Amino acid sequence: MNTIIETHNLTKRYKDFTAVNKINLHIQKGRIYGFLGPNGAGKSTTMKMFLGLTAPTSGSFSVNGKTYPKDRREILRETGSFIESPAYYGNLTGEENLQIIQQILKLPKSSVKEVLELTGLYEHRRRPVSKYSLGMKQRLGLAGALMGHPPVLILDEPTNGLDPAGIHEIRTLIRSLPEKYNCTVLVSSHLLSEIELMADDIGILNHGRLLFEGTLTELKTHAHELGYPSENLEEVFLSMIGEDNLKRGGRK
Amino acid sequence: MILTLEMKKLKRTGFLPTIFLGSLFACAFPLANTALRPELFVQQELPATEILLNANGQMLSMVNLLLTVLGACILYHTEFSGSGIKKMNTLPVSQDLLFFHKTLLLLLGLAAAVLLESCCLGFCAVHWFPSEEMLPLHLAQHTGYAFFLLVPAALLMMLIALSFENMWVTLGVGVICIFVSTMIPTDTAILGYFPFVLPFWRFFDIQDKETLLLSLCICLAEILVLMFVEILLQKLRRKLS
Repeated sequence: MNTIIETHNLTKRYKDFTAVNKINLHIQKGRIYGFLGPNGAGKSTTMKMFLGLTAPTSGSFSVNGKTYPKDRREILRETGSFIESPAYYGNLTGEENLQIIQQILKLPKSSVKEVLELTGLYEHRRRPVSKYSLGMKQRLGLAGALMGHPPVLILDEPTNGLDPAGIHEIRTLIRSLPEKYNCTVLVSSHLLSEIELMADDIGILNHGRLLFEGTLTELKTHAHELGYPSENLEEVFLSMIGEDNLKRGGRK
Repeated sequence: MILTLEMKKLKRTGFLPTIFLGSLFACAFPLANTALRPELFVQQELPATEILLNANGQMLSMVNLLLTVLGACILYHTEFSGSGIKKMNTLPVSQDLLFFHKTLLLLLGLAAAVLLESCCLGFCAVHWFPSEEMLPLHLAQHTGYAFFLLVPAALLMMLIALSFENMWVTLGVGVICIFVSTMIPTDTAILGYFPFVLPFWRFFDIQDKETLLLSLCICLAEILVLMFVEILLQKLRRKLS
């Protein structure tokens, strides 16, 4: 298989706290990779490193054959992202916000309309973003990430703040992206149920360490081998995290 | 292209009305001052521009500095309030370039303000000092010098705005800088060259070419140093994040 994002012992340390500890990820081209872990596991930090928002302490990574820091600008050009919370200009309308991205990426004007329609924001395009609901801001963030059909999409908890119908809609949209735009999606969540419905491959992170990487079927087999209950993946996930926490000397 | 983008970001922020109303407010001083007590000024045997600047120059400089502070606050508040700056960080565009284009926008606004104030001084001179011959030259010298000396303050203020996400901190630091600078005489060694004190220097107070050249060189050096500091600051921010 063709790997599009690869990390080698990627580490991020803040003084005496290790947020990401020597992780080796292999994200295959054209697939959805679910990045799973409890809050504070290091998911966002890893994603931020891919975008050059924070520098790795040690280790390296490549995105679509480009390495950091040498090709940072190129990585950003080929990566659509949505990190943590929606980032926008509240004084501008949804359409104007996307036009800024369109101009920076030198995309055709039609790309703005396309993503507005795709995320269901077209009829609200002339409203200032400060008047948008959280769900609409979330969709705008996603629309910004999708501008220009980037080959790599990095989405950090994209369904946060959405109502159940919105979650379903965004999930269906993300699911359709690799086929529609021939892109690779790295999506994070702390809910296995969420990832289970979206991802082809998953990576489980806890306290900065990668506990598992593979397909959902492989996770079930792996859980079975280790004696975890494999019928319910949520339980598998919780058991793996709990076991790891115990090994680290913490609470389950 | 980036300048157009930065101009677009300023929509509905009140940046242009603030600069325009602020300059009108500054223009009101020489007009009212001269209209209310013309006898105090018309009897003086000095060039009209010099008389008008002696009477109103400090107030004009203070309003220009206040506009600099307000302008910088607005320019970066739009970035921080909705975290727009975070989106910019994930796009293939240089943060330094964005900063310098924002500063250029502020300087364009300030240039318009200084020009409007000079036009007002020109009107006062024509109206109350009709025999003045060198007026266009004097006004041009004052305008150019006043604007150039505002550049370091604008750069410093933009650096402060970039450093603090909370606009009120930026505003507070800016206002403190203005008040401190009004207490420092322009002829004070070293402190007289503080970016916020430089705008209080007046072209007509300078007696010799050397002092004029020195003030311009110091201003230029401050511009270069502040630009360098901005580049270092951006690098440091990325490293510490």
